[in-house]
Amino acid sequence: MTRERALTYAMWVVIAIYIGIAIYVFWYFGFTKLPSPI
Amino acid sequence: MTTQTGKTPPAPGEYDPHGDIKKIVGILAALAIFIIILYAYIIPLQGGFVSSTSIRSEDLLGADPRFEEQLPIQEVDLGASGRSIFIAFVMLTHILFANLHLGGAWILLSLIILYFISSKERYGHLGRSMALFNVILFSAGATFAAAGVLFFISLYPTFATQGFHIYWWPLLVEAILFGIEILFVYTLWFAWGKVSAAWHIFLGIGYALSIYFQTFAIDTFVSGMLTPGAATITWGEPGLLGMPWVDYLQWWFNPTLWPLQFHRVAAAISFFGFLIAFLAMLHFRDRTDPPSKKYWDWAGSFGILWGLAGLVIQPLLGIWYMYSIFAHQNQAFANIMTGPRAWEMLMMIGFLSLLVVTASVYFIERREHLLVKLGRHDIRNVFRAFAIVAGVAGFILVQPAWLGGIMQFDPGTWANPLGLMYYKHIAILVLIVIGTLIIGIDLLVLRGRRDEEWGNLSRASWAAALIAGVLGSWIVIVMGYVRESARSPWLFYKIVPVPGGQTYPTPVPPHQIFVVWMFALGLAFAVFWFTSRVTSYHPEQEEKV
Repeated sequence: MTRERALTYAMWVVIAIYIGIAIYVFWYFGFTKLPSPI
Repeated sequence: MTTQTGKTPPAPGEYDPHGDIKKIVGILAALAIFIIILYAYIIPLQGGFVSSTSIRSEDLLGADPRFEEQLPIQEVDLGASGRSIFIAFVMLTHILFANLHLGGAWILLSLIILYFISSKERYGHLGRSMALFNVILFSAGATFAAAGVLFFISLYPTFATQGFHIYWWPLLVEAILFGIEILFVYTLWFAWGKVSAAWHIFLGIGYALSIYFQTFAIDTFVSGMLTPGAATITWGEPGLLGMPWVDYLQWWFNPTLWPLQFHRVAAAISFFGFLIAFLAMLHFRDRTDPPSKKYWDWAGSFGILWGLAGLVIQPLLGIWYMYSIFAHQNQAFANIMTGPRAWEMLMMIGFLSLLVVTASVYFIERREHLLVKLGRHDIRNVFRAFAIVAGVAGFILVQPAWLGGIMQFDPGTWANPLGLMYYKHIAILVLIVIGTLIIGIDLLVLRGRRDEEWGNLSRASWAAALIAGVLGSWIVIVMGYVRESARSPWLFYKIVPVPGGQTYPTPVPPHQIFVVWMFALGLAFAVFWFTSRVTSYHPEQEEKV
């Protein structure tokens, strides 16, 4: 595996982690902390 | 069959060098329809034209007489909201100029690092142009800041006296950092190419950190107006500290300081990225030589990617910010989420949705030729799907939660089944995922192949980048207005009221703030463009980009 390809994979992993954090943050604040809409 | 210019039109599925202008018309139509429905239908039916001064009149009766205005009200001859209009214009315009540094400094640092890692001249040229652009416009931002301070002192003397006294130390730090910031960025521009790589990076980091902490210093004040550190203002003995140190810390490091600070940085990065794209598109049209066109096409793409990156971070910080307001200033949360200012949040999230749609359209159109050439119809279809799904998410996000009452849970209001916050949280997540994946695909999958294409910019992608530039700036001043009106009718929430009572209602009404936005954007963009014309580097004919 070339260094460039490894870097590309690493960046995809970073993007996946970011999306995971976003899901967690919205679940945490949006669905458990902020008031229910009803 | 031929077109009016005698050329054969492209077959379905083939690349059209003009791009699909219908998509651009669709974006502009969506924007116009959204604003018309918002102003003609949603705002009146959510009580958006009713002032917070009127709605919170009983609360105002309980204000401490010490914080009522002692001096006569200074009129500015612009009607009942005249003073607020003055402040809104000067501070929102200031934000547009200040964000050049807060966001631009980090993008400039990225250019410095990319330049020294890749040795590609274009990074250096754009970085140096940006440094000079920010050096020149530093004075504009500082001028509006100083004007804002003067207006606060003149128009709201009691608030200014209390506020500037509580925040003396942070404001002193801010003032000193004005000097340090311009020292760094001026030196960076002046020494560009004359000092080592390490010095460039040092100056770039120094510039970014000085503006970061300068914003942090003023944010102690700005956030403290919404979530004050105490229930009232209690002064102590004369001396270096006007109140006990722990009390100061409560005021300065109040509950919304950090979320506001980080949200501002992300918003400023997004703003500056989209602004680069906007100016690059104007230069692209302005220049006729192919090297310049290639350079500005690349710069536009670089800006859009930064704009999108800043954009997808904001909702995460935004929901943290909203939760902090909910937990510590519940009434202000009600004002902007379930009350008469909720339309502002709809406008903001509507712009955010439209920005993701516009960025998707930009990449559909900008990479069309490359993707056809590479035979990557899968990516073409993914980009198209992103634009459609982002549009659907945006449609969910702009749904009003209720109509027919000032507060969402007033008796007799109509609850919109599509306006549930749970749906909106999911829709925002969808936009974040789309924006992040677009960045990933463009940077990681197409990287290396994009260089073949610079200069080959279709009219549709050119227009999409321009629209993104305008929306990216407009959303910033909408956010500023949201925070201001969440606080109304208070200057320090539930402590210092906006002076004048019912005779001088706040916030600035929706139609008047619209005019303020147009003036602020018009002025700022004129200054940005004319400054950019003299600060921008354009490749010479013989140079390769």
